[in-house]
Formats: sequence, structure tokens, C-alpha cells
Amino acid sequence: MTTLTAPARFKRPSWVTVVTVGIFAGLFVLGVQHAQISLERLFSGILNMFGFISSAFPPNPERIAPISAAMYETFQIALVGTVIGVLLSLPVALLASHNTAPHPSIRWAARGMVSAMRTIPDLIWALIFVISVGLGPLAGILTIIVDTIGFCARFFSERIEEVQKGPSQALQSTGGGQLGVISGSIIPISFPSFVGTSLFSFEKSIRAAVVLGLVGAGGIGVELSTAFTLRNFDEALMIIILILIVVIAFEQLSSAIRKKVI
Amino acid sequence: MKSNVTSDLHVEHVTKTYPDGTTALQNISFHVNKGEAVALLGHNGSGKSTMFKCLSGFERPTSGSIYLQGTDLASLSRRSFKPVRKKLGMVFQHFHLVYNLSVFQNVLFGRMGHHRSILPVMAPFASSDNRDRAMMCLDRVGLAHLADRRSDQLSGGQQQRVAIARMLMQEPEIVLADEPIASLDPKAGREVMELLWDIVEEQSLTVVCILHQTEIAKNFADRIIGLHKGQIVLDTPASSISAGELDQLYYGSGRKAAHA
Ligand SMILES: Nc1ncnc2c1ncn2[C@@H]1O[C@H](COP(=O)(O)OP(=O)(O)OP(=O)(O)O)[C@@H](O)[C@H]1O
Ligand SMILES: [Mg+2]
Repeated sequence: MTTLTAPARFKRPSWVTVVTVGIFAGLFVLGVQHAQISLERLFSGILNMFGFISSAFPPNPERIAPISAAMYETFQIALVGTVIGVLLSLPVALLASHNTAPHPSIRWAARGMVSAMRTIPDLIWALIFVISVGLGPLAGILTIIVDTIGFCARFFSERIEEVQKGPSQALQSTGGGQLGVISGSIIPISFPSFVGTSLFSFEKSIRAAVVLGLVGAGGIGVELSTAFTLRNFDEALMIIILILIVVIAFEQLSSAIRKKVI
Repeated sequence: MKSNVTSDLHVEHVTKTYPDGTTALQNISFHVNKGEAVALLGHNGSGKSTMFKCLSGFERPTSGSIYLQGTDLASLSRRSFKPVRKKLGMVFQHFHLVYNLSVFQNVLFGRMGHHRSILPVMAPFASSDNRDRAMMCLDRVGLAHLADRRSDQLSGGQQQRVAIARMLMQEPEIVLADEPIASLDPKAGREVMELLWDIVEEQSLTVVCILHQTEIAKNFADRIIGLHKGQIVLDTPASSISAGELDQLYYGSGRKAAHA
């Protein structure tokens, strides 16, 4: 009878693993030291937090009208930015996918542009646009457009590259051109996924648009930042509650629509 | 070089080697006359689909030439291939419908090669001429009542009929089919095959049909071409072919006795 040996229970980690883990552990310790995390600071932090909460309660609905108007502006920034972004994402995604790009160099350019849009954080885009077009909702809309393209064009393109060759080949064999093949088979087949991605992106945009106001790109964030600066914590709480309600409502709505479409 | 004018398809010394070094076709030559129906048989991996892709221009032969009604396929650029493709109706094993669109829309797409833009083949914008024509094609395959149905809600046999209606819509002169009934059950397969052959005879189309069912090939085709390891080992009129010859194609000489 032959004896069969199972593989060893534990394998010795390679030295690359050991070094990597070591470096990260070192950086972690340095990080903790640098932030000067100490028990006293944590304790006083908790006290301050209590201070904030006690002065924030009850939330102050006095300025509910201007706050709601600002929230509405945030919603508009998200909506307009996402719609334009999604519409621009489609051609960009077609240029960035290997089965639809007219030339590999165009594909690389499109991909590079999309990664840049995605990699640079939206607050930085917002700062750039505030400088170029001034304070206000336009800077917010431009930021959301860039954000949406960075997100949607990437996922659209992934879906486009997954589309089976068959139907496209069939349309090509009837004598259809590239445009016919794209609009006759690739877009219809990917459409449900495009809708899902776009709705998801809209949820993302609402959250992003809230924060954009902090750097002056319009909407509720401006109100929130002012309330904090003036230490009107009860008003700040009111704003936070409103944001919660709106964001949650839209998440529910969009997930309901997504379930229907897919 | 212009080829024999009476033949619709003229294949001359075609060899196909894939980039990975697999030689799928070796020095293949045959021609198919106008209105002739040829069945292409051969075991798995014998190169039938490769032949199909070369004939339809989705692959280019490594050497040799293919003439389609006298036009050398190798001389065509991507753009000038379009009018040639228009003459080629194709039927695939897996139907290749745009599965989440309606049956009607899929049939309309068959007309794509006849228009410059794609609006005339989009259901909401199509001319009444195209819409009527699509309904006639659907009626010809017996599915006019399912025009509104989403394509993936049809059975395999029905989907292949829709694909045939799409091909009819195209008004091709030559039909290429790669195992059109391989994913259907025997009954549905026979029905689809009969439908395809009726249509082909009505319009006296030239056909090259890849099949695995030797019986069906004998019944429908005028001529049978057998491939083995990328070479033609059989090219005989269907009426004069013997069971032994067919068996040899699939099983090699060793199994001949057992299947006689
Ligand atoms: N894209 C490809 N790249 C490399 N080799 C390929 C490719 N397509 C097919 N082949 C090889 O070419 C040979 C012929 O394949 P082909 O698909 O033409 O056979 P077939 O006769 O259609 O077989 P089947 O009856 O299974 O459909 C096979 O050895 C296959 O592995
Ligand atoms: Mg095959």
C-alpha cells in the first residue's frame, strides 16, 4: 500500500511576505504615534462630542426654508451632473472598449482619460472648477459630470467588453456596418446594466454633491459649513437630518427601480 | 483573376493556420454552382467552422483564395466587404438573436445591409414597407403571432426560425449555415431543416450547410463534402453516396464493419 501524504498544514511564508508585513506594521506604529493618540485625548474628544450633541439637540427648524432650498440645489446638481455624465459616458465607453474602439490608440487615450477622472478625488475637481468657473452650482455640476464619467464609462465599458460576439456577428453578416452593430446589438444587450450603473451613480452623486458645498461648489454643503463655523450646532443637526432623509429616500427609490429593470 | 462564372462559390487551395500554429484547413479546393446545396460533414475539429468563417470573411485564409460570385474575398477591405456580406445569409448553431429585443426587431435587423443608416431597421422608425416585409418573413417561418415576444422567451426551434426569418429579410443569394440544428431536439431539428430547405428551393439559393447528421445531409443536400483533419476526403453527389463512405468519415476504417 502506498501512503499518501497530504500537503503540510502550514507553509513557511516567503520572505517577500515577511518584509511586506514588517513594513506595514512599522508604518502603522509610526502612524499611531504621529496622530498622538492617547487616552486623555480620546477622553476629552468624547466630552467634546457630548458638548456638540447636547447643544445640537433639539435640532433647530427655524431656517428650514433656506435649508430646503439648498438641499434642492444639491439635488439639482446631482441630477443635472449625472444625466449629462451618463450621456457622455456612453460614447467614451464605446471608444474605450476593445470590441468597439476604432483604433487601439484611441482606446488607450479614452481609458487614460477615464482613469484620471476617477483617480483624482472629487473634492480636488471641485476646487479646480471653483477656481475656473467661480463659486456656485455650476462648479458642482461640472464636478459631478467628471465623477460620473469616471465611474460610469468604466463600468459601461466592462459590460460592453463582456457582450457575446454572436449577435454582433449576425448583424455584421447581414451587411450592417459598425454603427449598426453597436446600436443594434451591443447597446441593447448592455442596456439593463447601463441603467443599473446609472442609477447607482446617481445615488453616489447625491452624496458627493452634499460634500461639494464645503469647498463652495453650491448646495447644502455651504449651509452645513456655515452652521459649523458659526457653531450653530442645532441648525447643523437639522441639515444632517435633512441630508439623511433625502439620501435614504433616493437610495430606496433607485434600488426599487434597479430591481425592476434587471 | 476572374474565376469560373457559373460557380457561386469558388474555393482554391485554401490553407488556414491559426496564430497558435494549428493548421485547421489544408489546401482545400471546391466549388459550388448557383442553386446547388452542399452539405459539409466531418468529425469535431475537422475544420468545418473554420471553413465557414473563411467563407463569410470573419477569418482570412493563410493562403489560397475564395471567390464569391467572381469577387476575390482577399481583395476586399473591411468597408468593401459590406455589399458582399449582404449577399450572404448566415444561420448559426446558437441562433445569435439579440436576445432581449423583440422577435420583430430581430427580423427587421436582417435588412440592415440595405440601408445606409440604421433608423429604417429600428422598429419605431421603420418604413411600412420594411415592417410589412418583416411580418411576411415571420409568417413564412410560421411565427407571425409571436412578433411582439422577447426573443429569449422562445424555444430553441422557434429562435432558429426567427433567425431564418432574419436571413430571409436580407434577401441573400448564398446561404451559409454552421450546424443550424445542432442545439435542437431531433424533431425540432428536422422541422427547421425542412423549412430552411423549402425556402432555399423556392428561391433557388446556393447553400453550404455544415451538419453532423449524415441522414439529414443525404436527404437534403445535392452534394456532400467530407472533411478530415482539414482536408477534403469526400466530394460526391448525395444520391450516389454509400453508408460505408459516410461511416468512414466519422469513425475511420476500423469501425466500418460495426456500422454497416
Ligand atoms: N481561433 C482559433 N485559434 C486556434 N485554433 C483554432 C481556432 N478555432 C479553431 N481552431 C482549431 O482548428 C481546428 C478546426 O476547428 P473547427 O472549429 O474548424 O472544427 P469543426 O470541424 O467546426 O469542429 P466541430 O464539429 O466541433 O464544430 C481545431 O483543431 C481547433 O482547435
Ligand atoms: Mg464547428
